[in-house]
Amino acid sequence: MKVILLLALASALCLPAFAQSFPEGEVEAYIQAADQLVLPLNCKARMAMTDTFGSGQEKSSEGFFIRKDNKVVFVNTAPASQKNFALLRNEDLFYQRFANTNKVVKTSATASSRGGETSNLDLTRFNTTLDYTVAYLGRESVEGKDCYKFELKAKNRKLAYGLVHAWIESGTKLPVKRSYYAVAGKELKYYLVRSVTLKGGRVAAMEFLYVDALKPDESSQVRMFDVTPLKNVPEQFFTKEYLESGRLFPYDF
Amino acid sequence: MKQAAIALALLACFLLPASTQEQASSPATGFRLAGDLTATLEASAREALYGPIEFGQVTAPSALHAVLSFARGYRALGLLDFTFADSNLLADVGGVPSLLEILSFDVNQFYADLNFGDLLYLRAGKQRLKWGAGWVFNPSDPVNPPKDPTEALQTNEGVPALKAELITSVLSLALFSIFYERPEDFGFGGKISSSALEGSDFSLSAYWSPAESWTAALNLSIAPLYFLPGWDTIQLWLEGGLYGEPRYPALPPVAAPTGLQYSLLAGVSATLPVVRTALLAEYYHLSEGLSAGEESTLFAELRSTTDPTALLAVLAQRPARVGRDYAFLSVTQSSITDNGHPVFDHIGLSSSLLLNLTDLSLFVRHGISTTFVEDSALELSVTWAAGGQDGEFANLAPALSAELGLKIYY
Repeated sequence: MKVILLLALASALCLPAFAQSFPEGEVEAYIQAADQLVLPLNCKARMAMTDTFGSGQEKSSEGFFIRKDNKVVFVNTAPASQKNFALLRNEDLFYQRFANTNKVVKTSATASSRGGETSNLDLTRFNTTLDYTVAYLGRESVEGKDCYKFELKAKNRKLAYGLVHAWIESGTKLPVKRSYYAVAGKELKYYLVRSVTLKGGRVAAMEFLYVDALKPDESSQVRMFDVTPLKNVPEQFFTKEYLESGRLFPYDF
Repeated sequence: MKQAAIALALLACFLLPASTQEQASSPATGFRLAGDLTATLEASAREALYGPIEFGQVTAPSALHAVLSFARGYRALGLLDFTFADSNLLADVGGVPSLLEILSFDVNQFYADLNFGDLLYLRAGKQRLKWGAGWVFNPSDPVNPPKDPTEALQTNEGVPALKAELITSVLSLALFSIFYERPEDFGFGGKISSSALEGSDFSLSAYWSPAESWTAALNLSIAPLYFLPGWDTIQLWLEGGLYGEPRYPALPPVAAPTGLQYSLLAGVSATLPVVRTALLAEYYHLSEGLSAGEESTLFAELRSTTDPTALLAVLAQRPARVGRDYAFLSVTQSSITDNGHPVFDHIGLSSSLLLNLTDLSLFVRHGISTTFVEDSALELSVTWAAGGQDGEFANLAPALSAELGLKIYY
């Protein structure tokens, strides 16, 4: 019995020695810097999405989003039947405005209101450390790139996948891959970054491929482009009342 | 004047394809049009089950409903919503069957938007003022023409008004005035709304006009299980209204109610995970509604009178609002599959049931929609009414009707 206790104590003491130490300092600060390299805290951008189904059919849509830190509103501009569809994330609350009406209802974080492989979270979560606690797992090569691998654990299951693995290219701080897991540990989906366009030291365009890990022939290609920092974004753009008024968002794209 | 308005509205529709093509090549700051155009054909059984409604021998009444929203870049400028209807009536004129063509043109909404510093918003023109939390009905709404759930084509008609809206991140305040022909009939109202309390939205509204009673309303919606994944789509809402005096004209021979009146609506909705079926249920109560005995008296009068026109006109002001208690249930599947199936992915189904709990008459609608060409939808809906001879829907709605609509989005 004593031997078992001693072994347990010894293994606990040795744990820090086995844990990977992150070569670039504090993990959370690194993730925040990587997030902001992709998207400034206040910005606007356009998005084009193509969902591919197992049957070979494809559905395309376009839209734009406006971000103010943890508040994001995404609006569809095409196809015409989906114009006016909007998805709003106001901190921990999600609202959806139906296409062609101004009816606004609360919606779920993990649902896919616009269809395809991208959840409402995927379209509106740009601040990783808000929703996850982050731990460094080591270095790995993914897609031929030398990456840091991180483990992201949900702070709040309502707002996040239970577990996420993220790979960030060590030289550029740009994302390469993320895998999303259910609480039980089964991989649900992953995304790969297919291309990145840099302009003035920041991302101007980025293309992701979301793949259903359970049905790999179902995927969504998301292209984010015209990423433009904004000096100031009015708070009221992220309210249910503004969405219900049916007004657009007075930005030029 | 009306002909000029028709010409202008139709011209806008005809120019639409040209505008959208231009939009594709011009900068996004250019003038933009968006909306939908719906053409419908309707066929109904000649009469209600027991009803006083005399349906004419209308041959294929048709309607064109269009919504045009205007914007410069992504700055909203306004909206035009109109319905152009045409029906042919086979009438007996001096013993000779004649064909009468009836044309109508109704502007449902036509307003302009102004924006002051992205904080204060003005909307002027004929508009629908958002009032209640209710999905299918807003029984506490004293300002907008009532929604009629028994009509196949919902036009969302508004009222001529000027609305100023101050939207902030914590609280929104709207003040509005409704214009009538005589200035002494003008109505004034306001609404305070907020979503500041997590998981809930509420609003308080008030309205007053010299010609009508004062009205106060409370709307509240909450998502009680928003913190539980899978259960977070469940939403509850409540709409309640108080009136200084009855809102509806009397329905003789039934005695009119007097004094303070109220209405109440409670609703619940949820979306099933994975299959994404949307379920919705609402219950509403109207203190001005008639009891079963009063409804029986009313419909006996309608059956016996030689000219029910005046009474029917009064009843038309309260569609699905004759009884005291109602329940509404709806199931919607926007797409049978969501997996890219070449056929089933483009088919949507919906069913709804409106039950007058006072007289147990019911109104049922089934709909199927499909898409053959992108940005268009073909919708077929069939409705039927049932109930005893003292039932509201068995008397006032066609026993059976069908509508075919083609919607084009642009």
